Amino acid sequence: MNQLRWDPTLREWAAYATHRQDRTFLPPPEYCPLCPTKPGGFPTEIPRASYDIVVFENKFPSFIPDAPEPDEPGTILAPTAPGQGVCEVVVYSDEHEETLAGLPEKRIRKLVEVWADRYAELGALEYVKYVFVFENKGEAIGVTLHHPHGQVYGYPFVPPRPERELKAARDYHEEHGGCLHCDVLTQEHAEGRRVLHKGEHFTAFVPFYARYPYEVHVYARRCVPSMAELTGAEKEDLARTLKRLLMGYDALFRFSVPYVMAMHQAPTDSGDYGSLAHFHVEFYPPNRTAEKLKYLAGSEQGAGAFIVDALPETTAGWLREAIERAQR
Amino acid sequence: MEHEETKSPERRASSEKTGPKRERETKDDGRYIIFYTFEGEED
Repeated sequence: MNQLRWDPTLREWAAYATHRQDRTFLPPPEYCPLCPTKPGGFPTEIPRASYDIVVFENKFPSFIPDAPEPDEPGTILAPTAPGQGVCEVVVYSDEHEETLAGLPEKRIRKLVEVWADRYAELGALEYVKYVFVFENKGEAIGVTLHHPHGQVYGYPFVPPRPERELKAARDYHEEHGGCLHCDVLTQEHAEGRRVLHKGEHFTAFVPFYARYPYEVHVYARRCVPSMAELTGAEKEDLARTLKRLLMGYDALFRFSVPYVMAMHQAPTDSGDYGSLAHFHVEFYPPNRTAEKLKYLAGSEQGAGAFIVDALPETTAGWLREAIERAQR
Repeated sequence: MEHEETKSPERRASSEKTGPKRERETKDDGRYIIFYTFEGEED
């Protein structure tokens, strides 16, 4: 069952997919569904003995291409809609113990190519209005499979957070002209205190307004709306920047740091997003220290206001040191 | 999943000009699986 319900109080869709209650939950490594299928062994999702990068439709999707009309009719106030969309799994490597941070830079470069390809293919579908590339890493985030993988959702609507970001960019453009994200980047470069890594085409920084102590944004220097428009040199620099950042994260606390990785790109609803959408990647690690997690509690969940325990300038300094340490 | 209903053939075409080799197969339950390979490119 895939169904959307409209929340008129927040003016946003909630997606229901009850079959996801039965999805595979932290299986032992020998029964990992993302590992290669070895001859005579457990048949996994991937019927080959080895592979580079694999993409397949999620067995427990939040959205499906041929979603039926909902049984629940809804009302004029709170309508329902089919949960039509696409949910893909992107498997980074056939090595079960690997992580994105541990992949060779060249493999991450290939992954960038795959992400761009998925954006183009899913974004071309009539019913996909937003292509969201993301990774949930670590049990603290709620992953159900440890094998290195990410996901791609093709939503039938522009999700609330990117929509709000685009509205802010539109308002800024109308008031000041230019691109909000370009100006954020210019400000971060000028101040420098929160910049972690400045590559040739991408910059990683802890934003001035970070909501998590170690939140990092990776911005394309050129005002490019999506990965599909990146040049070869930009893709290479994105892979290099991600590799450095992720190694820095793992060096920070000396363990493999959990995170949510989210890519924000132009919607694929045929709208005009010139000077509004600016491709960037956001990381939200839940750790506020090596031992303590930042939980989304009363103020964050009930009021939508983030309370942060550390200043971005401070955490950027520690993270910058960790990135340098990891490069030695 | 069928892909007839596309809104931007140009966008799809642009990604097909370059990039990795893709082998698309269909699983027993009808889901697609795509194997990406990068010939001549070692990690």
